[in-house]
Amino acid sequence: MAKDAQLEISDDALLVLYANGDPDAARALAARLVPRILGYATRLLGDRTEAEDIAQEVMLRLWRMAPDWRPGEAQVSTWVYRVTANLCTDRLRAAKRKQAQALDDVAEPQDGAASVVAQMIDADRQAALERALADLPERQREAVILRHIEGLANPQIAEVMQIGVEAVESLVARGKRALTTALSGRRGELGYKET
Amino acid sequence: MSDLDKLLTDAARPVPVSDQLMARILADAAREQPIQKPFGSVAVVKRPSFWSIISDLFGGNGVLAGLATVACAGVYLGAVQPSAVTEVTAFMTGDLAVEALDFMPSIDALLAEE
Repeated sequence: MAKDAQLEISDDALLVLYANGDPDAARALAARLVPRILGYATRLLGDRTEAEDIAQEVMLRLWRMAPDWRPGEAQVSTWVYRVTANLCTDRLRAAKRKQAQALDDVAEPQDGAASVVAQMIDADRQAALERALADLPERQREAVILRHIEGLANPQIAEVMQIGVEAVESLVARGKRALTTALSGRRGELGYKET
Repeated sequence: MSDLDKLLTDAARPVPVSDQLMARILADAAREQPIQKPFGSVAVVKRPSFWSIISDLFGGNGVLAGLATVACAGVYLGAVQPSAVTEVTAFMTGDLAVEALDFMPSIDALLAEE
């Protein structure tokens, strides 16, 4: 399968191709989905190693489910986010909601893009955000991450979380209010101008 | 855009995936992938033979064997014509005139002894 062709093929079609034995379909699908799963799981769990385990488990379930996938009934990405959320919830519950730790491996800015001080401020801000997200109630955290970090639309979030669109809007609004409150006391510390 | 929105937008940067993780995931994919069937590879269905069609028509080999046996017996009887059979057939067709029938042939001797 040509690379240009892969870019135009939907997730649905790639999954069907995989189920039909196309060896390139798995690579294309993994390249699309794994970064999203990993990012979402990392933000939910606050632990990169566990997030990698979750990403592998979600993809394994996807491969096994591929022969039974019915194209058009649901979006692959929605299914993947839902399974990721469920697995992360299980892990968090099993760990008795352990205190989320600041990420060790915050994404590095490109070389030369920012000064060392700017990089440190950026890392501090991201760590503060991770901590504030970790302190949110589970459902609010899921909703905020899906809406504002993963960039999903409210109807798709509703499908992922298996709730109504209005409930999603409410969770996102409450989550953002809680984040604003949590971070407002640290504006100066995080390099924002006090207003 | 508020500071929080900027922070969330920054957090949306893609998370780099390690080569080891991708290798593990693709190994799982290869292990779980159904075997590819080449195009045009259709299963060859053998055409039924003449005798199997005849056999199916009569309801199987057992029934066919029974019919063949009966046919052979008919030909044999027709060709040989054993006397026992010819008497029966002559009686049935009316060629044999029967004037009296003795249903109890040994009763006369019994009556004579008394």
